[in-house]
Parts: sequence; structure tokens; C-alpha cells
Amino acid sequence: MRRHLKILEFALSSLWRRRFKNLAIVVVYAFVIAVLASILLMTDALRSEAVEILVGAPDLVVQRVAAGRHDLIPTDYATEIRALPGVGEVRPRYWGYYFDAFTESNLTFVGIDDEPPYELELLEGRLPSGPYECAVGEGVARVRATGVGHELTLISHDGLGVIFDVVGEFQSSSSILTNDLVVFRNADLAELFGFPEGRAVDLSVEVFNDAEVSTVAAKVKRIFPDTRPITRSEILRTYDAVFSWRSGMLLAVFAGALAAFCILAWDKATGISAEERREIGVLKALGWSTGDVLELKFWEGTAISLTAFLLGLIAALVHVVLLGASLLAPVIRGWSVLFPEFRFTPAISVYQLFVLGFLTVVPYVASTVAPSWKAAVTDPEEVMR
Amino acid sequence: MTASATPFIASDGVSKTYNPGRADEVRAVDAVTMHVDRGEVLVLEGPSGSGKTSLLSLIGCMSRPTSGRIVVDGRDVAKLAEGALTEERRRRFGFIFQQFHLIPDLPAIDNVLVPLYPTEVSLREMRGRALGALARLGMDGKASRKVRTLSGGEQQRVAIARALVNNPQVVVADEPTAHLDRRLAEELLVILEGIHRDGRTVVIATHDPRVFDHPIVDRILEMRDGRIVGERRS
Repeated sequence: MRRHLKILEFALSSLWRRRFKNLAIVVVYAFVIAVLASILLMTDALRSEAVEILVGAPDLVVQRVAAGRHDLIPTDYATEIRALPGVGEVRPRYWGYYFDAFTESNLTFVGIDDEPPYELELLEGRLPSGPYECAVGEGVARVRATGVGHELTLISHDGLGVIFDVVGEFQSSSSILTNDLVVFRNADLAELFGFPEGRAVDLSVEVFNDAEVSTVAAKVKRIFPDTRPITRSEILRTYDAVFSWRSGMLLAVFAGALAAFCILAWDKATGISAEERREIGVLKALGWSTGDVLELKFWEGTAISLTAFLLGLIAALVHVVLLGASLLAPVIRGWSVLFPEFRFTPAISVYQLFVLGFLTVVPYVASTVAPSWKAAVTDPEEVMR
Repeated sequence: MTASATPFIASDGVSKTYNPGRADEVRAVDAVTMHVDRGEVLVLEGPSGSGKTSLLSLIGCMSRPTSGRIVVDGRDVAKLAEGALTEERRRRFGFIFQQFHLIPDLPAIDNVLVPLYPTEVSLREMRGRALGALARLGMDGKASRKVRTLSGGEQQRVAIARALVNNPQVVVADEPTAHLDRRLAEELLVILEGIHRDGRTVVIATHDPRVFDHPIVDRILEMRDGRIVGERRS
């Protein structure tokens, strides 16, 4: 044991001797790890956003289609749909998008009656219960400099300013879902958007048995040919496509970072300097065995790669969790560019970090040990020649 | 000659061929039979390319012969596995190289410590031994100086201290005076004389008359073309 610790000490002193070269390697290596880890953390964050959204998605959404476009649906369709066997609650939903000229952001407005369509976690205050009250998401509160006890002025469909009291500020575990969100009473939202009486944006349908969702959808389509029933699995596929596309963009960056790492490892693996080769020969001549030399190189590689991995990981966590992935977010923001800035919900998979560690530390250590092995197995007399 | 019934080191028909079977094959040592007695100072003398360094490597367990036997203290080292051969080298031999082969960015004491790292000797004892070896050569005052800041003679002393730190039975020196002026060469020979007085065996490969004419030398083996062509007592 003492022997191994002493070889470790010698390895650390060797690294210190070549500290400028090793520092350069650690910086480049840590940068590559930071990019890779950021991408993994963001991909995880995106995936968990999708899961969070789907938790609150209804079994079936019924939209009305007119001239091939989504149109408002008569709320009295709900009565007949509710009468179908296996169907539970049928609720009209009021929601829409609002371009906020003050901040040049797109906001999402959602109406509620008694309970919100998603699982929303209030930060402060309460959900709106009276007229001209609203609750806002973190992003909206930030860009409009408002919050509980303050007001939010919006422009209605007929161009008039409407003042709402902010009674709550909330977040949900999905920041994509709530960041740009404003919640109103259904009646207020219908008035703001100018929805005609007896019309809603769509209907959310509860189906008791998951296996019957498609049957219910077919029945709704038969009863109301002007509707488009969308099942939960279809919603899932849509979200999946969006998130997969975003993750794909990240994978492109990931591939670039991986290529940089491979170049670094390849550079290490293709050889050692004449000075290092001579030093290995001297060590062997002075009584170090091949195993001792390889252990020395193993400790050197491990120290560098673990240091770089930990530094890179910390940088990635700071970048993604604290700085909201500000360097990589533009790559994935895409259509949501007009949304208020949102921060990624941290989603750290220990398994993925372990895999990243394994796939970066092990190849680096191997690429340090392998060329040294070639030098270490030669007779030490080479050093005398 | 200080021959005894059982020589400390003996080679029996030892040959060493580099790049065997290739166009650049070199037979550096050719069927050499010789011995080194315990406590003697033996010089391998010959011009460059005569096979001195190769024979020194074989005697010092740095390489294995292509054919023949090398026996150190009754043990045929040519048959030892790599680990055992390394252990034999570390335990019995101390090396002084022609080019010193110090690590220039390490302090003198750390250079002297190098042979002790792959052992179970504690760090505290290692440092004690290294300082002792440096003190013996008058270098304890410069123990913490980086080797590259030392003069040639001082570097030579650090290299000798490193060779002695393991308390070896045999000190092997390859062309130790090749790069030294007369004064430093004389200093080195005085140091070697001290090592010899401690009862250690000393084997020197050289073509420097200052060495093989020195009174500490017991015996000289003349080498030409990988063979021993003559033997004389100093």
C-alpha cells in the first residue's frame, strides 16, 4: 500500500513539474467535458419538460375544425360527449396566445374555473377567483416587472387596455410550461379575447379506461363530424417530435465536442515525447518495474482526467442550472425565441453523469498508459545506449 | 587478482545480439565468459563499439543475454521473470550513467529518492537515506536545488548519491569520466575509492586511461568486437 501511495506522490510531482503543459490539457479537456455535460443536462432537462407537460395532458381533446383550420367549439357539444359511455368530466377550455408589445414576448393565456389544467405550484399568493384577477408565471413577472399586489395591463381584442390585479405568481416543475403563462378566470379570458358566448377553444375529455380513448374519439367524430378529437398518445407524439428535434440539435453540438475529445485522446495515444521516453528508461534502469511505470502513468492520467472531469462538470452545472444554459440555449430555443427567457429545470441523471465520466476518463487514462506501456516494456539498457 | 572459489558475478558463454535476423543485426557481446569477485574493482576497457556497455547491462541485470548464463550471487538471472530481474537490479545494483540521466526539473534530493519510490521504505526513511547519501558526497547543502542549476561536477555527485541510496552491493559505472575534466575525474575516482572501501563491488566500463591506470582498479578486461581479448591486473 505504501509503495502505491509513493508512486501516486511521484505521479503528482511529475504532473507539477510539467504544470504548464498539464494545465493546458486540463483546460481544454475540462472545456470539452463542460460542453458534453451541458448538453447531457439540457437534454435531460428537455426530456423532463416533456414528461411534466404530459402529466397534465387530458385523455382526449376535442377541437372544432372549420375550413381545415382550428375554430372555436360550441360548449354545448360537451353535453352529448359527456353522455357517451366511459366518459367522465368534459370541460370547455379557454386559452390562447398574446403578443405583448411592451416586451416583444409571446405569452400564453389560460382560463380556469375551479382548478388549473396543469399541476401548478404557486410561489406566492393564490389563483384568480374573482373578476379581473390573474396569476402570472415567473418569466412574465420578470419581463413585466410585476408580481403579487401589483397590476398587469393588457390590450383586449378591441384595442382597449384592461387592468388585472396580480394575485399569484407561480411556477410548475416545468419551466417551459409556466414561464410565459398568465392564468385568468374563464370569463375574463373570454372577454379579453372576445370569444363569442357559448364558445370555447376546445374541450378536454376524461375517459375512464385508457383502452377506450380511441373508441370514444371515433364516436365523437361520428356525432360531430366538424370536430377533430386528439388523443393523449397523439399529443405525446407531437411533444416527442418537438423535444426530439431539439435534442437532435444538441446532439449535433455533442458530436462536435466528442470529436474534439477524440482528437485530444488520439494526440495522447499516438505517442510520448522523447523526454518522457527517456525518463521511463531511467526509471526502469533505477529499479522501477514495468508495472510500477504503468501505475505511475495510470495515476498521472487519472489525476488529469478526474480533475478535468470534475471542473468540467461543475462548469456545466453552473452553466445549465445557474446561468440557464445561456451559451447553448439559442441552439435549442427555435420557435420559442419570442418567449420570455426561461431557466432550465435542473434534471441531473447520475447514471448519465457516470456514463459521461466513464466514456471520458477511461479513454484518456488508457491513452496515457498505452503509449507508455510500449516504452516501459523495452529493456532499460536502451537508456544507456 | 582477488579471485575466490565462487565468483560474485559470472558470465558463461554470454552473447547479446540486437535486431536478430534483420539486416541491421549486431552481435554486441560474443560468447563472453568472465567473472567479478566480491569487493573488487573491475574495469571493462575498450574502444567505442567494443561491447563494454552491453556487457555492463547484462552484468547489471538491465537486459537478458541472447544466449549463455549470467549468475549473480549463485542465481541465474538470465532465467528470471521481468519482475524478479527488476527486483534483483534494484536490490543489488547502483548505476552511474555516462549522461547522468538525472531529472533536470527535480531538486537534487528528489532525484536521489527516485530508486526508493517503488519500495516499501517510508517517505521519512527515504528522505533520511537520500540526505545521508548527498551529505557523504558533500552535496547536502544543495539538496533542494534543482539539478539543472547545478554544475557538471555537482550533477555527477547527485548521480552517484542516487546510485548509492539503495545501499547496493555492486556499483556499475558506464564511462563515468567521459565528460569530466581532469580535476573532476580525479574527484570521481576518489569517490569510487571510498565506495570500494565500504566493501562494495565496482564495475566500470571505460576507455579512459585515467581510470584503468588508477590504483583502486584491481583488474582490467580488454574488449574488442564483443569479445574479451585480454586480462591484466592494475
